[in-house]
Amino acid sequence: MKYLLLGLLGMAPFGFGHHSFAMFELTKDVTYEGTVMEYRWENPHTHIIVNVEPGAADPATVGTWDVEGGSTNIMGRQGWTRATFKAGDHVKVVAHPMKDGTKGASLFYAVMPDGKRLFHDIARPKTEGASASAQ
Amino acid sequence: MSVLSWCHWLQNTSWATGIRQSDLWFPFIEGSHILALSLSVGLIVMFDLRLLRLVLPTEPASKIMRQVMPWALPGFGIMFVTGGLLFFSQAEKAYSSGFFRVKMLLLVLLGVNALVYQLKFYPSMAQWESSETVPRGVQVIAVVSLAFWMVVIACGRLMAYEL
Amino acid sequence: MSLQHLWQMSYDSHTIDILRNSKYAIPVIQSFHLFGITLLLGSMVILNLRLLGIGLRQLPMAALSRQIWPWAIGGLLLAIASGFLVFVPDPARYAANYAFRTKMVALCVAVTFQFLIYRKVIRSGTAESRSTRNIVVACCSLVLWFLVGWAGRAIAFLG
Repeated sequence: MKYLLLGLLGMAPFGFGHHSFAMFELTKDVTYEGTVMEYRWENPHTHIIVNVEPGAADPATVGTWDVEGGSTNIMGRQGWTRATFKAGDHVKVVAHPMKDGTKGASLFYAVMPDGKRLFHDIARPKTEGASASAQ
Repeated sequence: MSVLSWCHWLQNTSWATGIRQSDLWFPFIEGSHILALSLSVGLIVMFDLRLLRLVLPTEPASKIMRQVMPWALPGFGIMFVTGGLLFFSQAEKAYSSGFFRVKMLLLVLLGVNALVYQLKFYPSMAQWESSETVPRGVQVIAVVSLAFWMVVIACGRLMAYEL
Repeated sequence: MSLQHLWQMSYDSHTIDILRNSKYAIPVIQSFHLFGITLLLGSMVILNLRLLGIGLRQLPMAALSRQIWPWAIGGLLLAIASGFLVFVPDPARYAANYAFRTKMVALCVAVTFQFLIYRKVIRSGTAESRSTRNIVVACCSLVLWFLVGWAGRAIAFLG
């Protein structure tokens, strides 16, 4: 578990300065697939409000989730823009859910229609046999 | 119109949205709010410490007040303007935050604390400012000031912790 | 031992886990970091306003430097200790952050300047009146310490 944590966060030049990630389950990657209710491109954190309909592959993800990203500057450098999503779009994101059960999560990456991944920051998932990317 | 819906309207005005979405303005305003603590609270702290005779005890307290406080005014000006802009850009979140409400309450109480000093102890300052013993009331005011400012700063930090 | 090994010791540590997973610990420690910064930067503002000769002119530099200096150092130590406690639970993330690295370099320069040059100047007899040297030293001190402060803010925004 600790190795996974290090792998994910290993060389991420990620600014957390506002608050602690302690409120999120950082070792859990959960996929939320549904409709964008709101796409808030703003500081200190961008937010994607995602509604997952009943009948989803993972029943635990059903509901409306506040997926929190980083600052506009940090997200911008990963390829995000203020127009990446809009209300009504279909979305698939992988995020770390809140520990206390409330419907909030910390964004890891979004999967775009063409398959490309848009990350929150520079961290990349650790693949079998390979070490986390250094930057 | 409820306060919350007014806050919602306020933060969705084009100016407020502009600040919130700006790569530069938001960090600059927030950074200024935090660093201007040195120009405002930092100076007040030194005066409070003098009232408790923990710093510069050989200088009359009124002299310190006259020399230091004029510099605290622009400092608090910066805190007020940047704080206002930060509220403006995130009004709903701020209004809904327990930590924000405590912070605002404490700021009001700090104002009352300062007023009590002005009305009750400032007129007689010449009598005690150079003596070894400080009136108990003055000590209380200084300790309350130091303690409340620390909690104000902590509330500001903890506000950011709420999703 | 590489840096990665060093960071891994933190992620493996059960004691540091308690700090890492506590809901309020990091924001509270960050508050102490701000108390330290307020004391340190507030002291620097007071000393430098006097050194620049634009404020607090009725207060003798000798008394100011003797009395305010300990509070500046106390603030600095509090900031360093609390900063260390924020860094330790997530060292890899901070070590890779360019703003953090800049802040550490600026901090080293500021501390070196503070103890090697600044302390000597404010304790010398020539700090009471305005001079080119005093103005330059005061400006360097303010620029360096506020650079450390801004770099700290940039950690969250620029990465």
